[in-house]
Amino acid sequence: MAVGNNTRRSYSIIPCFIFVELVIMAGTVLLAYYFECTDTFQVHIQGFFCQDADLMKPYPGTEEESFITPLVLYCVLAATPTAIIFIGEISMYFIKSTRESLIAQEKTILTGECCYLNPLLRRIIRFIGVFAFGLFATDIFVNAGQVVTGHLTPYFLTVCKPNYTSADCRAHHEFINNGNICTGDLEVIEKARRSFPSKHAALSIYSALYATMYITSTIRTKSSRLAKPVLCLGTLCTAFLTGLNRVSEYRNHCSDVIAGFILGTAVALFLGMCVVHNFKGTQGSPSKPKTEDARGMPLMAFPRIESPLETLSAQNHSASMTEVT
Amino acid sequence: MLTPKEKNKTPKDSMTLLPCFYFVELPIVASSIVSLYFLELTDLFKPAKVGFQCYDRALSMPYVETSEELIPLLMLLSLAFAAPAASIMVGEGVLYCLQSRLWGRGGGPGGTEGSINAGGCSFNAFLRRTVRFVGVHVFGLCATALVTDVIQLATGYHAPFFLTVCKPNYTLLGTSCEANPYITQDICSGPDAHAILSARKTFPSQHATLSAFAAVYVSMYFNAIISDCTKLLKPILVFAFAIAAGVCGLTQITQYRSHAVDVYAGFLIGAGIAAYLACHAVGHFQAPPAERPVAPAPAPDALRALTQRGHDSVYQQHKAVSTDELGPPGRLEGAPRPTARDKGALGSLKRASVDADLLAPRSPLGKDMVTFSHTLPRVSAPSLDDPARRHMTVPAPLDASRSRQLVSEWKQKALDGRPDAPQPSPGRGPTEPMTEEDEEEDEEDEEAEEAEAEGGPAPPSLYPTVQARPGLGPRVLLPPLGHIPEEVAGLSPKSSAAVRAKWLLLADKGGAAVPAAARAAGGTPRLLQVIAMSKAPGDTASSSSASSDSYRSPSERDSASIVTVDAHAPHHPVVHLSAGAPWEWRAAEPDSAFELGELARTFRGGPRPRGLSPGSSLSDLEQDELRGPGAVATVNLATGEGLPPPGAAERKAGGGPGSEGEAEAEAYFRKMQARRFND
Repeated sequence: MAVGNNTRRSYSIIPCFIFVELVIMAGTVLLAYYFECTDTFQVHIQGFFCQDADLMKPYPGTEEESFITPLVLYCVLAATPTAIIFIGEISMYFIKSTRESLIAQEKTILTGECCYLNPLLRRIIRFIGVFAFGLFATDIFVNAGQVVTGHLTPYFLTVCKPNYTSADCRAHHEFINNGNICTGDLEVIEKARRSFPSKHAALSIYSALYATMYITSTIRTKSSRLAKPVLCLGTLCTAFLTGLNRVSEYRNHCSDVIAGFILGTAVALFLGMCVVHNFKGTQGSPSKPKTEDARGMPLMAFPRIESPLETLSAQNHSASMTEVT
Repeated sequence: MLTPKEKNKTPKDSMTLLPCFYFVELPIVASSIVSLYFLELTDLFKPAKVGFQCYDRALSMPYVETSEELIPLLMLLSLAFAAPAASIMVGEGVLYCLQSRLWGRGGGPGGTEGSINAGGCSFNAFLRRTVRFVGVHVFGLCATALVTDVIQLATGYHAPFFLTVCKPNYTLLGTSCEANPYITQDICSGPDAHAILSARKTFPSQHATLSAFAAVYVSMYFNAIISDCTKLLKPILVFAFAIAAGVCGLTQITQYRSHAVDVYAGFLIGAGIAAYLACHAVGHFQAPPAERPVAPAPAPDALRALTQRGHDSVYQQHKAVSTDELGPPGRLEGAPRPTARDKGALGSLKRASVDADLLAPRSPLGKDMVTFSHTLPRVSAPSLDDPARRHMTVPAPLDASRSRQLVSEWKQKALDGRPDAPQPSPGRGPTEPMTEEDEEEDEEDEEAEEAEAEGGPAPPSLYPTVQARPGLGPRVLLPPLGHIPEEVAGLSPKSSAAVRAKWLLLADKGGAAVPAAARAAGGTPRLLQVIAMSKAPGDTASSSSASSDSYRSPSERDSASIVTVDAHAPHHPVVHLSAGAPWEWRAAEPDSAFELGELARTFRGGPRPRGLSPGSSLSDLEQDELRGPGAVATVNLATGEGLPPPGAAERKAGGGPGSEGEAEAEAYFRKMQARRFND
């Protein structure tokens, strides 16, 4: 199996990559596309109270007029971790001291006869691929939440301009469940119905947290004590401020932004800890059989084989205890 | 020792599996379901009374009829039950297929869970894991629903549609709403009492807790079993379940069934219960760690083979005893020749010998054995209880001439009986069934002792032997009666280890400590005799290695140097050691351990019985085949003597290098035996 010291031959890695990872990735991207750019999923029509002060904030204009335009936001939050991972991996690979540990962690995969996938390539593809997947997944989460809840933005009543005369709205506690009394611009009203998890907050915190986790777990600088915290806290603060900006511009409620933070944090933590395992190499597969052997061997070669009975009884004792259910 | 066709993984036995399942798990699940029924579908328990404010906007949301709900409770329940259960079943099925394909029947590094025999049925790993995980899931659903109901009843918070269905009649208060905005009286005038009741149970949303529990549980399951080879399969499954659960909870908000706080609290509660159950009830969905040492090693195969045949009683009985004896192995001078004898043991001995005699002639294959046992001085089933008889059966001839005569006789007969396969091993088949049946019944003590003695990570073929003759083991270890064949029987099977231990002991003591040494060495000359005899067929059959000369050493090289045993006193055989005889033999001793193993190997290599003897069942034959190296031991069986634990010989055959350990093993073994007899 082993071709060289640090080389492994694998014929399944390319098919596995194409038929599992790429398919999943394509499905995710497709779903995100349907959520974002088409009206396949109709937003839930949520009712509101007459004259609800929470929904009568001034209209801050379209998204493009906001302080952080969506285009800038998407570019930054997609590019920043990608660039950080890229630079980090390449510098790790070309700095001699880290390179050895890197190669010790990760094996070069020889697939077919010609293609060598060296650790640099594998790590870059893995980390950036998982990051992109998480980005789309977060987007799907956010869109699903927005579509299902149909929570109204703070400026809803301003853009809706409800025709109260058609509804029974004499008292303040009257709840208007039918959304057809709006007289404003339908497109803007449609946008004003999508609020609950703030998309800006979720995406920015996800990308910032992913980059932070990468920085903390891979970059080891002995000389500079402050570079790492500054980088990490800088990205996190930027994400935090992005969310706050949404509240201050009356584009989201405070609860929406908090929910978005929680959502993005959860996705980033799950991906970073359970999927890429804190950006460590994959030593799991070779080490597993070894531990099994180590556990199995003493039974055979243990010098005190003379006590077969105690071993048997101990084994059966424990077995009978544990095998319940 | 295993023939390759033997199953790699034989199931374990469990007495506790089914009772524990029936009497612990099922009642717990059933009681939780019953209490859930009372809480959920009856109004036995009323929610706590909580007041509300006049015209509270948060409670004035429209009421969505139960039939118009996006996700009714029944659908939620079935989804929360069925989706994770189906996922777990599919996951377990795929896992089982992959494991059995990659590593053979579950014997791989990942398949750490063995099959279990219980109540006559075999539960394999797939079934056990599926039942365990799905069962915990069902229980967790019930527990979550219970917790939710209890909290709902205890808090009694109002749902957002409370005022809509309540239609409070504010005029009943007597005071105006402006004067006293907080109303604690029951002034509802709504017609739908059921809706009002349900509007007072909201605080943790039932939908949120159940869906969060199901999603987190199945997510942790996938997180545990999906390997890292595919990076995106795990997250997409986890995210799918998370989105489903989130949507399920959020519809409660959008349909005004619950406040947002209720749903978030419900998410937390459900996720917490699921995380707790996944971590502590099913151990992160891994196999129980205690089973792991058993599974991977080759030796445990035999261990499971042992348990294959319903041997639990032995374990149950003697767990305690064997744990008592966990002490380090010691020297055997103190105890190994206890004088107290067990009537029962003697009886069974006698019976065993009778069995052997009766049984042997039936089988053509057992001919060697029969003849051999007849050549040995005591076979005729004397009543061992009678001291006189015992004396009579003492084989006078331990001298070289007698032994040589025996050897030649036996060799001759072996050659006559089966020219091609003179090994006695095939003869075992016929003798087994009788002894087994006969003695299993009334000799629980013996069984127990034997189980102890035999237990352990011993080579595989040990176990079938145990299975076959569960009563015989201890007798091997009985103190010397003066029956030479008996002692021979005891020693020869584990000859290598035993011999080593004894000779080492002798070497330690030097020639000075003659009595003790003589006692300790009491078995040795006999052993030599048997070895000499057993060597004979080996020579004829496979022209075994010349190095087996060492066995012959004292008895055949120099008749004067043999140890003679004067068996006047049955309990204390007086052993006269001719000068240097044992030591001379001992010179070749380091080899001998291996040589015996080799001898055994040659036996094993020999032809096997071709057909079934009339008295033996199929399984016995099978076992016999598996137990090739026990050939040496077979000799003893023919004499009607106790079971030779073939373990020693086989250990030799299997792994020569471990000989020191086995010598120790033997010593320890003896000591324990002695202790037991002293008791």
